[in-house]
Amino acid sequence: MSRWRTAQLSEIEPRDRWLPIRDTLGVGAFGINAWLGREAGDWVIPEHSEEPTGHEELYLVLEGHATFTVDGEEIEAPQGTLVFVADPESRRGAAATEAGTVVLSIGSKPGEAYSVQQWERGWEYNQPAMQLYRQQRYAEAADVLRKGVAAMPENANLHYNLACFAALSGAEEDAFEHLRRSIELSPPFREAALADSDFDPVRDHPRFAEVVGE
Amino acid sequence: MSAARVRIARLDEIPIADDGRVPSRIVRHHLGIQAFGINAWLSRGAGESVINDHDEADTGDEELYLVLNGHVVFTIDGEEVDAPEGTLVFVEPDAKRSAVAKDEATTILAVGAPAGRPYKTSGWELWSYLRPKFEAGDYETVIDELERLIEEHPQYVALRYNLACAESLAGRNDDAIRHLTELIEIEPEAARFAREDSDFDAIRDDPRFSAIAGEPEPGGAAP
Repeated sequence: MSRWRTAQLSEIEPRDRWLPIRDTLGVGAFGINAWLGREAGDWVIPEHSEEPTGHEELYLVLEGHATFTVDGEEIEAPQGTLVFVADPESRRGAAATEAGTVVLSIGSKPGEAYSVQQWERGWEYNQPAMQLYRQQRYAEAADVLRKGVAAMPENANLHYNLACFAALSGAEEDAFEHLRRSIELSPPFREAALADSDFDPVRDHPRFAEVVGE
Repeated sequence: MSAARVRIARLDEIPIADDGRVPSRIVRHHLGIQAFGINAWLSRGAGESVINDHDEADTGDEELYLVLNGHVVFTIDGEEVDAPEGTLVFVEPDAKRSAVAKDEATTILAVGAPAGRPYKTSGWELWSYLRPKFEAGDYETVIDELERLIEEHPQYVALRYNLACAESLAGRNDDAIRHLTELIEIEPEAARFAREDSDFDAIRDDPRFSAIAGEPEPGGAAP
């Protein structure tokens, strides 16, 4: 294999709403992907924290215009804006304010060697599941991820997402079991679950408190 | 505790460091990023270098380049790669790479880190400002500036290393030995570079030098 590889950003096949730059080029030292907001009003960076990974993340608006929300603060980000979120606990997301918005995201954890994020490893399951989730077809989304956790039983991210979809589709026992497993594999998912509205349908259930250790 | 949880900048407002070869916007230092390196390299004009000919064998960094605007031609391991705006070029550490601008205004984003181990900030970005003075032999100015910068950024080992180099070249042997000793305590790997660096020829025969930096490899092979 040659010691270099090249690609055109515009020719990378999107996976759902993101361009898999890291995987396409075989980058092993940091995470790097681009996110797409096809229409004005679409989200570009889904709201999340980096608690499970401990990553610093840098976003660069390559095309269009995005509005970031970081810990409740709105940031206008036209093309050429860099938004650096140093604290993994910060909740961040971005919406496109122009059609055709593209945001580059780069991440890794200070002081640690990079390893590929679990959501990216599980993308073959996460992608169709997220599409169903956005159409509020929660039971079908959960079914996709049941296959995912069968194939990748150590992937905490797939267990966590399955727990969300199970909670939303009324499969309470499944929700608690997979949330418990995700926290067992990756303890920061506990904090994530406490802040995640996907668990609202089961939040008052005594087993939820038991699983998150409240 | 970092100053702010979120830091925002426009790329075209980030300060430019000019090492006398290729100017660059020092994104990583400006934003205080710790987990990976990132800079934006600018061409002086068509036909000018945008990425200096180099490899990353010493750092072990993988590097990913993205042509943000303009048009360049990369040469990687002897092979030419035409790279218009939107081209991504990923280069493994040992490959020799350089890039020359085809358009007047060209910007290349460069992201780097080593695979399989943590990224370490060195502060080489700030050295860029001083490199032309160093090359011109104005060691006393470089030493004064570096002492000021090291006080401000004690974590940046590249500044400490170059301070010892400048002191050695300026004939300030005791200062060079003292600063090299301090550096090797913080970053033992610096000894390997010092052993092979002609900037230290003035202090190489000092017994204190071999005590801190060790002996050169048999046969004088470069690291």
